Amino acid sequence: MQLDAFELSLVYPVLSGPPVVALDHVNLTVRTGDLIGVLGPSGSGKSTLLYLLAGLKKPSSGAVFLDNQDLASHNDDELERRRLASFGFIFQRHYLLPHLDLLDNILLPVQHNRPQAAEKARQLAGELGLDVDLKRRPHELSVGQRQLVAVARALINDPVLIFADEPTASLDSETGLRVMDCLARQLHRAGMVVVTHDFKILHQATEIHQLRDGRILA
Amino acid sequence: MNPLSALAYYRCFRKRLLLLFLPVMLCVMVLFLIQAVIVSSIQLEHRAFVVTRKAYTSIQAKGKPISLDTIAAIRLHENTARVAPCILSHTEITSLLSRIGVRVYLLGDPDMRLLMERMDVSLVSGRLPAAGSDEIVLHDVVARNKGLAVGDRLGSDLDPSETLLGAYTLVGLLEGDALCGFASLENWQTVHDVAVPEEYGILVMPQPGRLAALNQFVAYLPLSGNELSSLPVSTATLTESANRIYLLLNTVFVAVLLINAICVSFLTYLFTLSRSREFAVLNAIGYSRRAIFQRSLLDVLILNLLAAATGLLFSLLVALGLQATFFLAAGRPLTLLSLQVWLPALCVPLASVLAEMVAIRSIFSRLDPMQLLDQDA
Repeated sequence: MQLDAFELSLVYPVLSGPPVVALDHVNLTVRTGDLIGVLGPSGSGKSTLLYLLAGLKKPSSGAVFLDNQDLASHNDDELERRRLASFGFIFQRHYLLPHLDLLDNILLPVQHNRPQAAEKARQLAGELGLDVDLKRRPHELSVGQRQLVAVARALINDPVLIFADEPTASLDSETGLRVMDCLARQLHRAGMVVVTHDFKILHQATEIHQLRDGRILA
Repeated sequence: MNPLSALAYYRCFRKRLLLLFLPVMLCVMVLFLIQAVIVSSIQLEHRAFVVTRKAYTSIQAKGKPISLDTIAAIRLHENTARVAPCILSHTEITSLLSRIGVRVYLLGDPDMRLLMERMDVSLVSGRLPAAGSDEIVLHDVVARNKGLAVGDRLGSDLDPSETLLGAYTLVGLLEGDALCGFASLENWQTVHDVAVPEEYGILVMPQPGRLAALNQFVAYLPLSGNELSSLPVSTATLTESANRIYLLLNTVFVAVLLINAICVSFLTYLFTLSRSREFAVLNAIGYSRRAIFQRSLLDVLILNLLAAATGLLFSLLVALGLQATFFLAAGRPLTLLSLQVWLPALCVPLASVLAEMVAIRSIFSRLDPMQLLDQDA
């Protein structure tokens, strides 16, 4: 698997005033085994970069190639199928569905063979140190525990690409490192882009980029 | 558990389920019961006023006797099967909406049996009035409505508020679609000292299937002010009064439908809006936007159908309970199998689903998952 971002830009037109450049000609390559860290302050375009790489947003210019296929050549249905089957997302917030129990939340991306996946979900929860009954619902957990569930959800489908947006922001440093270790263990079959402003969690990164005002600093 | 399953969602948000479920269920119940009561009243009037006229046409003297030449002309007509001397009297019953006049036919014995056969009514208990007696038979529903049993007496001589002239003893009960009663013509002749009853009233029974042609012929006869009672005249009169009731009923129906549709679509709009972030996350993970939208519509459809089915079941149980304990005993049977009763109630979920679809569509057409997630970032 190889993901290439080529001259990726995103510009928001503004009615009165100059357009806002969220991302400015970014080039990036992610291969299986890569853990790409993207550091930058708030508003530097880190989340936008993730969304563009995952095909959740369309760039104003430039392109994203997945295994040499332009994501823009896929229609919405194909992109959605690709995201569900091959991508894993960890958002800044956990975004667990309040009406589902923890197990069903972890199994959200699973479409087939759910009993087998349920066993894997319990195993993942254990690896992440999530020592709670998976029949409980999200509101019964601390914010940190919810984030661990969200991490398990991102990994349940054995994704080939993992996008993590501040994955440890709501975790204490010890749990944060455990999560990063767990993510790093996926690198034998996946590539990963981790966006953060916490340099410490990127000690296993294969590449680190600094993003500022939508540009990757040399 | 399928994450898009409404069952999972509403198990957690039961109040929301009730808020969407109850209005539809209650509206279905209200419309069903209102329709049942009103349609039943009109149906009762139809059975007394129209169904009976399918068997004959009658002419009653008003001021002047009926011309014997006219009677002879009718008797000779090819569409006439039988011209019987007959005096029409009536007694009143009450429906939930109004008072209904029920015809009592004063006929000679063979004509009485012939008309009963043509009206498809038969004795369910007791016997027919004896010739020359002050006896009467009434339809079972009429007797129940008036609180009478076989052996009871009725008539204006006994009760001034009674519209049936004279005094009669109830000797039998009838069953059948037509609401009516029968008494002896000979008794009336004796009381009023009448030798030729034809001059006071006749009842013309048509050849099979020739009622319309016979009515056409009779309508053009010179009746000199005598009162013609036929199927077209009765139907027109009943239709006119029924239309007034239906206009009121339709206004209530439309109002209930609109209020319910506006309420549930507003609630659906709010609830769907509150789930926007959930839909955004599902879409970001890879759930198809179309699948989420279609699932939302399916939820609404299933919810409304369940609410309507529950409402119909409850109202049917209520109606059957009332029927068994009150309406049948009071001679005011509810008509529950008519399409007119069910159709308005069935329109409730349909209108709700359409209104809710518009609400959901308006949210999904503006739903931008990434904008929602960006706001949180």
